[in-house]
Amino acid sequence: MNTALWFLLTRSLRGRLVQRLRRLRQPKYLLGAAVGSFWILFWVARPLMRGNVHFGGADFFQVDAPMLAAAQLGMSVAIAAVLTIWWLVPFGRPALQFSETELHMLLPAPVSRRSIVQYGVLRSQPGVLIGTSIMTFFWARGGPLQVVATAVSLWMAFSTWELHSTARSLWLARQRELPRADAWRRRLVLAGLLTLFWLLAGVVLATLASGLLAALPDGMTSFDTTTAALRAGNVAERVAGLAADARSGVLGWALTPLLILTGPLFVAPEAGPMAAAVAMFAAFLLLAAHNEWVVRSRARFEEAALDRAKRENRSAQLAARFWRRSRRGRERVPFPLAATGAPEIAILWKNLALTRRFDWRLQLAFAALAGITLVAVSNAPGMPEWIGGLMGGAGLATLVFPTLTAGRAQRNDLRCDLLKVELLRPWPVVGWRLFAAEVGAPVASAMLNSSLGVAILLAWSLATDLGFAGAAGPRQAAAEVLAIAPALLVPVGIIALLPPLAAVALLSSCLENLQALVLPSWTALGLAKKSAAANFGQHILTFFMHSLAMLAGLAPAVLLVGSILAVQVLFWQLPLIAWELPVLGFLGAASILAVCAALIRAGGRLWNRLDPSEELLSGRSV
Amino acid sequence: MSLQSGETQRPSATIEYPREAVIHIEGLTKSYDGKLAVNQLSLDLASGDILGLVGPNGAGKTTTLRCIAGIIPPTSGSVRICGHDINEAPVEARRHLAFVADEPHLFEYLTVWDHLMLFGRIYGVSDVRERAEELLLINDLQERRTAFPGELSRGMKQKLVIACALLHSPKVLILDEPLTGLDPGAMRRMKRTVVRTAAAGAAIIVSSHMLHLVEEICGRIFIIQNGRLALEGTLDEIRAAVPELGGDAGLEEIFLRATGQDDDGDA
Repeated sequence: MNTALWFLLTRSLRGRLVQRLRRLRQPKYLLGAAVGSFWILFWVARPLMRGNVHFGGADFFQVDAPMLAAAQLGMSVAIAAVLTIWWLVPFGRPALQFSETELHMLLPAPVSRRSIVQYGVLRSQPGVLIGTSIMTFFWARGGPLQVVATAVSLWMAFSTWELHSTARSLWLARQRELPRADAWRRRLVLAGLLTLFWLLAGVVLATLASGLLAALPDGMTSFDTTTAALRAGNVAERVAGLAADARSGVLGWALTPLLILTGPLFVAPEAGPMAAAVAMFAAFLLLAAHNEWVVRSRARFEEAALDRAKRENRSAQLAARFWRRSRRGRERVPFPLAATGAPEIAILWKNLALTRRFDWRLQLAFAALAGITLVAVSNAPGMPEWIGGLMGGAGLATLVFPTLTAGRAQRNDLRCDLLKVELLRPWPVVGWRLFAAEVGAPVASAMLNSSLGVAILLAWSLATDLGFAGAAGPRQAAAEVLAIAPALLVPVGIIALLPPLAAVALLSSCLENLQALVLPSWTALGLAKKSAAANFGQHILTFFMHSLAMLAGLAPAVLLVGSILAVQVLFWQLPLIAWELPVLGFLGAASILAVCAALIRAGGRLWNRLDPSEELLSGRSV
Repeated sequence: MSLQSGETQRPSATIEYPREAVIHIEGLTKSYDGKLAVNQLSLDLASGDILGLVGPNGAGKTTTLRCIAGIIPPTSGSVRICGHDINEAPVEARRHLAFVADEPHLFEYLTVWDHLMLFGRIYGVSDVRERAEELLLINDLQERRTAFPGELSRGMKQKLVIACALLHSPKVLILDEPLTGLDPGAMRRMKRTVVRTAAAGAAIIVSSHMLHLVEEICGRIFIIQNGRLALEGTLDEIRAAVPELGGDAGLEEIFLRATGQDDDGDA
């Protein structure tokens, strides 16, 4: 490859690395990186070093050579099937990856075409290397040398696969350039060859399948009896024998490239280092051949690559997901917005439009329909009775979970709007009212999601009344304890739960938005989410902070309700009845709302005093 | 220029206007990490005035405009919009204000029409639909009302931002590089819009590197460098301030001389 391109490639990688390392000078990133690294070390590296992790490694591959050969044959046939579809169906564009800048810079430069293509091939290597690292973790077995050998084998397999994909897409591009008759002739030849291959392979595989069926013993009625029967009948040995026969014939010959590709990954430990070296060398030759195939391609990739770079640039913008909306979808709004009135409603309307443009009434109707359908299906004739009974628990979880995670799961609030500070700041809205409007959207979204839980619970209760849901027993018991008619238990419980759950969602949202104002650099702002180690560490830390703050915010409500119950049950020795649950729920909600009010005031003051950094004003996430 | 009662009249750089000042800036200073971005700027602007704010890159133009719009708080000094201090009574001040940033920031998930409806509600524009239709027509956006900002060219985004800004007929309009990304036709329409808006009674501050635009539409020119006022006045007045350039010197020559970028001597 041209030395200038090599320089560009290595410098780009180095620059990216240096940029990441430089960020660590800032304490916020350093701390985040330290926590992220510690987390990875604790959960991944430590068990690995202690030898506790052998997902697909030693335990799985403690099989003899004939079984390994059979597994390799199976994998090769599977890859052949995928490749057949790939080559027969003419979809996709040239796979050479370039950025728009690279194309604008490299294409007019006095650099050979071979060098540019080689550069494009090498550019995909970071992705290949990441894939190799992950797979090595799951696949590696034995000592350090064997781990390295596995990593190299996987890298060669992935690189060859990547090159093959590129070669195929360039072949398709070339097809488009050729006269129609020539292109069709080439396509027919390819289809003929593949048909011939699968005819031959089909005969062999059919023989193999009938042999396998004949080898299966009787008495395979359950998992235990199946395992015992397979062991007693020496099925593994017979399967390996059949596979060896298939491999030594025409199928093995036809699958030679794929057997070479997968060879290094299936070398039996007893075959020795020489066998492993030979397999790796053969795989390397296959990789080199693929590389030559790609760099020698005569297909015109430039225009398609430029088109691809532009498309990727556009789709990389998360906003692209909005562009797919139909004209009707674009005209839909969360609710009709009157021209005049409180401006906070407009902010809520805007933030809801980010995540949902359906009318809220329509959403409630959908939730009701979905809940009834779920309960009906789970109680359909033939379904196990426990599934119907389980729906009560599922409904409760669906009701509660969205509110607990409202702030973490939804981001249609200040976290998106802080990057638009230049747009929002001149609005004539008082700080605390703007903050209150901003925190409202995640709560509204969470409560709309929870409505599915309400629908499931009500449908489940009704199904139980009608004798379908099979949970009459537990509900009856709970109703007796709380002194209420069983049919009313669920509706009263929902009425009691909804206010505190809405308050919890508001608390969660307030905390997340306060974090965005206090620690904008620790918050993922805008639509994008960041995935670097430092951001990962920051995410863990902020998660713990959020959890602690939630506990602190809920403490007054828990204390209040707990005290009332303690006085009632322990001192006055009065039983808890269902009808006081809504009152307790309301009191709990009021306590949480008092905390939220204080947080909203604090958020408003912070917004008023906010001096947006240059990073915020330039619209970049910090 | 008439200043509000009780205000101290600045000596030489002030120009007497018969009308009341709707923008009153006094001693505006903004520093970042001890570095002065804007240093003791003062100016008054009456309704109907168009002020051209010019200066080299990094002179502090955008920071000045952001302080006036209340986006960033000044380190010291005060900004009053229609008599309301932008930091003490921000809501009252902002009701009369519109700010158009140099980069057209829009909400990616709202359509063109949604933006106008949102701004209408925020500013309480009762006839928002009629105003929106009118502004879409003026800005050639009526065919793109269901488009998202990501689907618009930079120029169209700029037009949408300006339409949102004009929706509530502000008394103070602040435009930071308003012509960037506009085609020649749109530029002409934009210039007309600015002049008409001023004629309707708005005070306008336009920051631009397009000196011909400033020369053409701005009654007053404010040249800043390193955050300080270098020259201020009508074109004739600032021309008179640099007599060595002659009586027919254009704004470009005056600007280069005032900011020390005049390299004629080196040629």
